[in-house]
Amino acid sequence: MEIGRCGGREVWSWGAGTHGQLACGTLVDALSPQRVEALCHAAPIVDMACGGAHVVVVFDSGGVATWGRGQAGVLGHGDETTTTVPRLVSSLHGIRITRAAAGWNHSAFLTDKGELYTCGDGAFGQLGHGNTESCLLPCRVEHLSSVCINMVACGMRHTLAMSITEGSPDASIVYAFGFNKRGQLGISTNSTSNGGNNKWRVLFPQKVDSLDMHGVTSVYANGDHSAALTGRGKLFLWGRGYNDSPDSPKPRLADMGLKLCQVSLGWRHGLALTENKEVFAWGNNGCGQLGVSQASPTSGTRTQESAANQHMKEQDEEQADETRQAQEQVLGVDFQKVETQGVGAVWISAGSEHSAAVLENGKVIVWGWAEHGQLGLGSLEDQDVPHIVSLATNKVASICEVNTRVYCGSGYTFVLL
Amino acid sequence: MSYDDVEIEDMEWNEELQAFTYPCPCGDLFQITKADLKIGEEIARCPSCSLYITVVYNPEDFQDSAPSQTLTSSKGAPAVKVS
Ligand SMILES: [Zn+2]
Repeated sequence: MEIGRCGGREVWSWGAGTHGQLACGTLVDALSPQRVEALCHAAPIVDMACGGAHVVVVFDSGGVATWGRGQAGVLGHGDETTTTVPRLVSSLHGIRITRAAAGWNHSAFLTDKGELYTCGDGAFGQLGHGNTESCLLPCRVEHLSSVCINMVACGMRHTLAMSITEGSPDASIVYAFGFNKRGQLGISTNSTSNGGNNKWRVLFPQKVDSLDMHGVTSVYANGDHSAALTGRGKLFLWGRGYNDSPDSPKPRLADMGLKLCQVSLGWRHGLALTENKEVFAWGNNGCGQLGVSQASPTSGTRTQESAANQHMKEQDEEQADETRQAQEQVLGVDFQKVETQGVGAVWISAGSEHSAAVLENGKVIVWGWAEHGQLGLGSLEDQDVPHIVSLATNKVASICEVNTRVYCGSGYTFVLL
Repeated sequence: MSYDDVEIEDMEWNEELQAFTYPCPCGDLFQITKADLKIGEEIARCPSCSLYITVVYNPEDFQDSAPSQTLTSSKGAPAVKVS
């Protein structure tokens, strides 16, 4: 099917490709960046989401295309067919989609009116339809029909949705549904339902009460982890514990004393971008995904303790309240500064076990796990510090604004130029 | 080193593969068969990469001699009858 008109962005992909997730018509891994011709002639892409083995793109026209492993209907085409090239989601025709999210095996779409649609694997309640059925076509989450959803995030088996009331940004509400065994929903699950794992499945969206009035403006999820960022740049983390520390079923302030503007989560690590264009990482470094050389494990570390001390000096009542929360530390979270080649970063993305960032000069840097070529450096060797990916593009980078974006899936990577 | 410890109840029964599966960070699935579990195997491997997980389960649940028992597959779909 024809994807759309010309005038789009250049799209590049590399890494794991055995389920068609690289959009190049092949079922093989690629160790080096390859240009995705099917998308280079498409309409401009405004959002992209990379899941376990499937990808969703949103065009400025409001249309959506998906490709990759089609299991459980995750591509939204009405069947379970795997597709190796982008295919328009025709059932969303006439509905203007503005954003998308992709989990391990489920997809979520937001409309310009704040409606939420989901499809794919629903076995853990992650579609929010009140059951554990899978959906081969995107279905509206009726339970949220009375609220306007502004952002959605999908983890391995759970989903977060955020609603901001216009005019009162502090009154944002976060909803969560799906699997809650590791506390990833941030709510207490009552175990009244039948045995086994069923008690951990939350089938309808539930409000994450403890985030009320914190002014959350973004939500993030991957693996069994969840995160939220407030308008003032404060980070809340919950779900599976990092570095074998206990799980946190309640959102906890992970304060590093810096204002954050973007977060991205992996399966065992997380990345944060500060307003000063610095990148920080935390969690497991088994594949080098933190991007900090093993030689100096504590260099550049900002512990939450020092952040708390910093806050002690401030008399503001609200700040004092946050300090108390910071002292309830998120165990195992130790922020480490990533050396980004001496250049500021403007965008970050974490894959399951690898990491990437876009620098102010438009370059894309990568580090971490490389077994499937997901770093695009032409080798299968893990990298514990960032390296620049070379893209054989003729496109001239804009000097005024860096529009380049990188999106990491489980074992693969996409770049939009 | 084992990538993770995963309880058998968190794995999903895959009819096509005839194995219990769990997501692998490479995009494929860690897999272990009932025959593996019967002989006490606790490593589930991914066919696409070098990673593996340790499956946490009670071997008695998979023994022939054990009394007939029902294990709920995490799909919530038809329970897997282990006899
Ligand atoms: Zn694997």
